[in-house]
Amino acid sequence: MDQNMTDLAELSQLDPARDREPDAFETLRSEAALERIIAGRRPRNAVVWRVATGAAVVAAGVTGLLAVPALFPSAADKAFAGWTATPTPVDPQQVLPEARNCVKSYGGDPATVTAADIVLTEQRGIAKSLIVKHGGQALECMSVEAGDTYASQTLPAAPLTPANGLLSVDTRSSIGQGDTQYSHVVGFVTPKVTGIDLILADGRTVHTSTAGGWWTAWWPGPEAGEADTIRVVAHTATDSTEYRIAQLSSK
Amino acid sequence: MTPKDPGEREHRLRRLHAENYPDLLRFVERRVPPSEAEDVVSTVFLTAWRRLDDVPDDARPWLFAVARRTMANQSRSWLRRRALDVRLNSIDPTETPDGAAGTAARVDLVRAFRSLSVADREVLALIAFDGLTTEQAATILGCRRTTFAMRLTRARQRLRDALAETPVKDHV
Repeated sequence: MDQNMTDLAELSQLDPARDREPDAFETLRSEAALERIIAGRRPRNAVVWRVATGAAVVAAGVTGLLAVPALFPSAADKAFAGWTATPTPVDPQQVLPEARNCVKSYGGDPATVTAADIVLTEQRGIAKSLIVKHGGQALECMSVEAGDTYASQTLPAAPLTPANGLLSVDTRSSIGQGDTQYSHVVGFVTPKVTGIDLILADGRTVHTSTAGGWWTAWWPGPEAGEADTIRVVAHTATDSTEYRIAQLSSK
Repeated sequence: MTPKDPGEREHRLRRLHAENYPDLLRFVERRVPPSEAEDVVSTVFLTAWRRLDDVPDDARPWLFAVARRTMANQSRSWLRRRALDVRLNSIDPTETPDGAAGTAARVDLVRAFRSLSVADREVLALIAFDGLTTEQAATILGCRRTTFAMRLTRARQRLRDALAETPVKDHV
């Protein structure tokens, strides 16, 4: 990497696998999987993969299957069926198993997670969402059944100050296709804001959860992946202000 | 050319594994949670075994490309998000040699990197994180080396622009 590539050298400091070396057990497992491949058997750790279209299921494993929503009715169907526009807060202690699974899915030690690390919780039907502090970052995870993590992402270690002094959007996305497509938003909020509602293009209102400087919501539908179809209403003690979601990017 | 002798085929697969397993595991763990990475890596070697005749002498970009497709096309859960987005190292001030100033610079860098498109982040990560040449990275993305070089130049410029626009923000 020459001098003109110093920006890339600096960027390499952020490499999450920078000092990562497989340990002896990982190497042994991988070598064992290789022997099974050569012997004509599938790797033991291969899992049931659910295809993104939500309709087809490809069974790629025989043993060691993990609890993934591969059977019908799918986790998506059940989560959507029970979805509510108004979330219910959950005592952090009650979602400690989900928070520990969340941290574990990122390679952390679940035993170190306590209820005090959980900064936001919400439940919509059977789906639980939470934001948990872990090391120098925050993790956002959603679980649908049995406390398993079905979706996750990394977030900044702490919420950032919104430029407008009220709220901003950190991430928004839509995932899946057809009947299993859903939207998800996570943002930052200041104590001045008492509540945040999302108004979708079809008129639906989604009430969000706010806690600890974060706000979040998910709902069935594609809107968060669209250019700018969502209106965001921030309520304060004195008034309410409406924004287009594209106005609230924290970038 | 891949040998037809079964013993030689097995030898070649084992050699591919020995030479590429750590790099492949790191490549995958940069993009999916560690708990899922081993499954992806196993799938890559299963594919390599089935298509051994297609694996070129410079196998690493071929294996990485298979891993990338595996992560893109297969989702272990209906709620998988950012399947191909690149994860970032956490920022721990105690691990930053120059303390608060270094931490602030890294926060800026993280914010600048996160402000880029997923496509820009992937181009930068292939070089800065995965340590690939532009030719290898182009193979993974299925484009010409010159095309990748142009995308890299633009992504680096956008990163510099984002850094220039990103002051250190106070936390709530």
